[in-house]
Amino acid sequence: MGGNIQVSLSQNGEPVEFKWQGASYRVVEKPVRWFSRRQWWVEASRVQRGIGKEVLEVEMWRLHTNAGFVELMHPTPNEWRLVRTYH
Amino acid sequence: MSNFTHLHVASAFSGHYGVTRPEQMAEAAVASGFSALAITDRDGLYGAVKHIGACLQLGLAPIIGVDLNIFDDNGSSLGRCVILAHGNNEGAGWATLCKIVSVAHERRASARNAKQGQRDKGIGIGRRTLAELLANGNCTLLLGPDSDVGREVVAGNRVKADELIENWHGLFKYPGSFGIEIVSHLTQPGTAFSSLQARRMVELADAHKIPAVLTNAVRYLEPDDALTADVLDAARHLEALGLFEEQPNAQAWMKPAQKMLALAIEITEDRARALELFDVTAKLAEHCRLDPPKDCGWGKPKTPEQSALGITGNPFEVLWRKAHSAIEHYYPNANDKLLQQVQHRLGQELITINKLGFATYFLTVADVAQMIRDMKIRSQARGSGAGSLVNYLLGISGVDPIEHDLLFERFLSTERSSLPDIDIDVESARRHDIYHAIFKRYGSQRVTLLSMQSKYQGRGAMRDSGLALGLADDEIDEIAKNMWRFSARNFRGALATKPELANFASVVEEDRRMNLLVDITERLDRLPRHISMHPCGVILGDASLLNLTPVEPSGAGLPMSQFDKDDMDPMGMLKLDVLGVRMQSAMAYAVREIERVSGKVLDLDAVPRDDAATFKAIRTTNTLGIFQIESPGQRELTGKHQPTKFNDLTIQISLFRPGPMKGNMIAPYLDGRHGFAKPDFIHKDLEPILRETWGVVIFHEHVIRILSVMTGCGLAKADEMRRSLENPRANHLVQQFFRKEASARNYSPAVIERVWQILEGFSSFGFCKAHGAAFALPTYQSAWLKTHYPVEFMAGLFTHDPGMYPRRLLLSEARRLGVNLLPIDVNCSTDEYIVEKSSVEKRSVEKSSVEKSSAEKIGVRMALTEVQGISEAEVARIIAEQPFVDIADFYLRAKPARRTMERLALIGALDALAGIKPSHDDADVALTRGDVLARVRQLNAIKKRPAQITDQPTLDFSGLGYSQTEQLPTGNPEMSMAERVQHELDIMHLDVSQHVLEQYRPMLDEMGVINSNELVGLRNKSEVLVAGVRVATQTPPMRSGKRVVFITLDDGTGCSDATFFDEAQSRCSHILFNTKLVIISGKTRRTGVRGVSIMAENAWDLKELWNQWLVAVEDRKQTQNLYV
Repeated sequence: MGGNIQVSLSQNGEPVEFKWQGASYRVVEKPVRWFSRRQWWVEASRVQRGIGKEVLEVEMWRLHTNAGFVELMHPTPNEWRLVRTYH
Repeated sequence: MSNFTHLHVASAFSGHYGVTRPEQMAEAAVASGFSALAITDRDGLYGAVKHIGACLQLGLAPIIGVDLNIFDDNGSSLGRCVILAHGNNEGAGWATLCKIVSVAHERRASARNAKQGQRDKGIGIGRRTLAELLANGNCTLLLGPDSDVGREVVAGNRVKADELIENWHGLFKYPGSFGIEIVSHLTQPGTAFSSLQARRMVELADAHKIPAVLTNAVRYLEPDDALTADVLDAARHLEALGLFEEQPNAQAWMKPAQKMLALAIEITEDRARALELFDVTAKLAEHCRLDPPKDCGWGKPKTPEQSALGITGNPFEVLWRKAHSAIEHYYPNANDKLLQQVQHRLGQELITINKLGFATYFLTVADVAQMIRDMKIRSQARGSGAGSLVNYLLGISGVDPIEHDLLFERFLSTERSSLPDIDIDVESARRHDIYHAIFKRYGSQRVTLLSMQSKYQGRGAMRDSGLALGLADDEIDEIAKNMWRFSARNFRGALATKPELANFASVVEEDRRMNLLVDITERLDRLPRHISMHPCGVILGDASLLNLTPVEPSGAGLPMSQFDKDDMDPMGMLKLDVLGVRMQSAMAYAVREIERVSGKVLDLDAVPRDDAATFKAIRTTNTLGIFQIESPGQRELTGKHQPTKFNDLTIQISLFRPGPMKGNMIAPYLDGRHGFAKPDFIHKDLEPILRETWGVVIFHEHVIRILSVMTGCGLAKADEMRRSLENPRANHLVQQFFRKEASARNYSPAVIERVWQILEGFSSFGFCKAHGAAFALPTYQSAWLKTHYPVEFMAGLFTHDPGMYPRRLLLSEARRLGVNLLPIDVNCSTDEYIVEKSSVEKRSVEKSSVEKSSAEKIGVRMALTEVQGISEAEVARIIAEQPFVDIADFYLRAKPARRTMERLALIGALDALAGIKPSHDDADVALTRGDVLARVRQLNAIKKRPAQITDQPTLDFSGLGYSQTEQLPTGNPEMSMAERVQHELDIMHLDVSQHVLEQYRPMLDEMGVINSNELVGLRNKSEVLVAGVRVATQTPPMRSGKRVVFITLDDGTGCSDATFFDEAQSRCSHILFNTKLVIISGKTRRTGVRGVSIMAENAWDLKELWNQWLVAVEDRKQTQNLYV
């Protein structure tokens, strides 16, 4: 878990497909997105004005793929991490 | 773009919850294209007035609501809900909202909710009560995810939710008074603020045909602010982050309409339904737009109704009559010319008052002033109000504005329509009596106290930040100690530059949490922190007051408005500041003692203000205990200034501030006054204005007059311009006007330039003369009392302790004045310092002449309360059971604790009970204080104090000529003077029997130490040694940046002032800050006619020197003995 994965997005920014550990997975249902939070007081080294959102909040996606459900974390525009899979 | 208004918004005034000030919210709303904005602070309308003000300035429509806890019939919480006031209904909605908030605070429980560990004060409103208040339909209640309904929806209990919503619907029947709040913070599906739950709430609302309204439950302006919100949540929970449930993410910000639409679509998954949501929201918003003047009384000054003041007829006529009829009283011997001046001035003031419609305001304040006088409490108006002749004639202020050349326009003019501020100084001890009397007189529906908001600054911000990060208390304290001098905002900058923070700066670099600490402390900077009661303000309104402001308990037994002093003017509320001043209590005490002891009734306010003896006494610079001029700096200024009349006091008080001191105004003034330099009036037109201060511009009134004379703009406009001088943005307009008009009046460019330079630099230096004159009055009065009734005055000072110095110094000063200090005596002392006439006691054959004259003396009896550790109950018992026949009698009836008994014995409070007289040389009595102590120890050794046999009459033997019925042990040694003084210092921190320095007299005489009262007679640059108790140590900031230490010593003959520069400090700095008894060597330096200070060279610990000296004396004796 946790490694960086490659995600392809639709026109309105929703994941449609992603590659992980060599395999490709297709999203079969409309993805669900929400915003979760992080513990900046444990992780961050600075929290000056302007930096708040990026150390506090993180975008999450739950995708129904052809191989089951996955939860992805999307902390920065180019970073996608696999958080967990489940059925 | 569809129209959207945010209807659920917490500003920074939602304590420990909101992050952004209303003004910033409003600005951002306008920038985002909103046309209206609501503020719905938690538990009150704390941010409401600021919000309305900002909206009016920016052209945004204001909406106000509140976010409150609602309780069911059993007292269980139904969650927090939003209540919005409808507008444009002649204030009906606003009044209902105010009432709702006031009711919510009535039920406040005092206990903190232990389970949640929150600062939960139990504020909230019962649902039924709320329903009754909403029955008229002029507010709307919104139930959101936080409500009982919302919680069932999250839990998936649709059936239960249906039931609960009907409970609400049944109570809130008026159409439009009830709605469902739809919020999504895009949290994880299944949680309370997820889009999924929001959709369920929409479905629920639709099923029950209840309007659904979209909000974003906003608590900060931008996502970045969510981090600050985390810290506030930690402060509110009193727990470190991670130990409580934090907010879910950073989505609770003021999103623009576009994003809100996207949210609505995500929630409903149906564009048409989303647009309907927007539509309903917009309709509600429209209903809630306030018309501040019509709904909130905005900008409309309100004073108590005529009937409440007991006035019939036209208030202006009443005012006119009152003022005119007082002329004779205040100007009894006025010649025609003066009378004309008075009439003319009065007429002008009354015209302005009439134009502004403030007649009732003046009558109200006069009414309060009279009420205070009727309560026999001393009062005096302070501030610019002293410049008004009407105030003087109505007995509100105590200085004659015509005599002192004060300006009405500085206080009130048609250029400003705001209600003027009047501050009244009263006896501090009676302040609360006055508040209660005001409430009683005008009725609790017309009077409230007001609140004030403290801000997160320095130390406080650091503490709560440290708490949030889970840092240990002592770590935080260590850092907070360093922070207090810097604003939180500037802390990182200070870290980089200030040498004293170097250590901490390196810690910050290394430790991640310290870095975070600094960052979040800066985020908290200046956010509102606590609401508390404004210590002296009172709002006096008409019967509509409680419809215009919500109130909550103040902690002082009287309700306080949730609005603070900055909200008063916009809301048209009259605020009176009733300030407790201890000097007024001290002077009232003195006057009462004078009457009690001598029978003389003194009207202190009628005493002539040109008493030569008083000014002479001031000029000696022995001004300890005199209002405003007792500090070392003021004493030095007095030495240079040498005031001879009242106006001099006004000037001196006005000069003694950092501005004039830095701005080099004092030297030219003194030089002109003493004839060392010719005063420069710049232009002949300015001479009459600046004559009193020898050409130096000191007062606001000077600036006003100069501007008026040189531009012809009139005094009222001139005052406006003076105010603009302080405003960096309006400053240039004043300059333009001034230069143009002065030019047109043919003042030369050189004159114009010079005058402008002075005016421009003036803003931070100037002082309002009316304010100075108002302060000069108690200065003069306290000096007058000290001069003519020193005993009673010092008694007042001891009792009320008004000044900057400790009581022991005042005692020393009293002794210097020849005031008899009577030691604590359990038969005579009370809980106050009372003036006592020593009466002629029993007839004794050996009455010496000394005894005879001392029998008529009056002195001040020390108070029992000075004894360390004595309890209020013990004091009360002693007073109640006085007098006592002997020590055993005292022991039995006053029932003192063992330690108290012993302490009283040690300081001689029981001596009289043994027949020992203070004069120590009464050969009749052979008993010593040692004997008293032995007796006390006997009594203290008794295990259980025997119960008092109350039905047995106490035998009174005093008439039979027996000296004592009690048998005291004898033969115990007498206490030496040094021992007495030491016990007094230990037990009372007061050297009563003699000045603590006296016991070192032999050494001081041998060393050649001189008395401080001899300094003024020495030549400049004389080498001297002085000694004394260190009573003041000051290290004011100096221009050079180097530290200079100023030390003041008291030696019983006066005060000496010494200055320690670098070199001297290097020799003895450890003495300067820690040692109490000090000897200083140095050279005298004359600073003025009666000003002298010492340029110090070195300082020593007196006690250490004494010990060394004793050894040397002993050695000398031994050596001498060798040769005998």
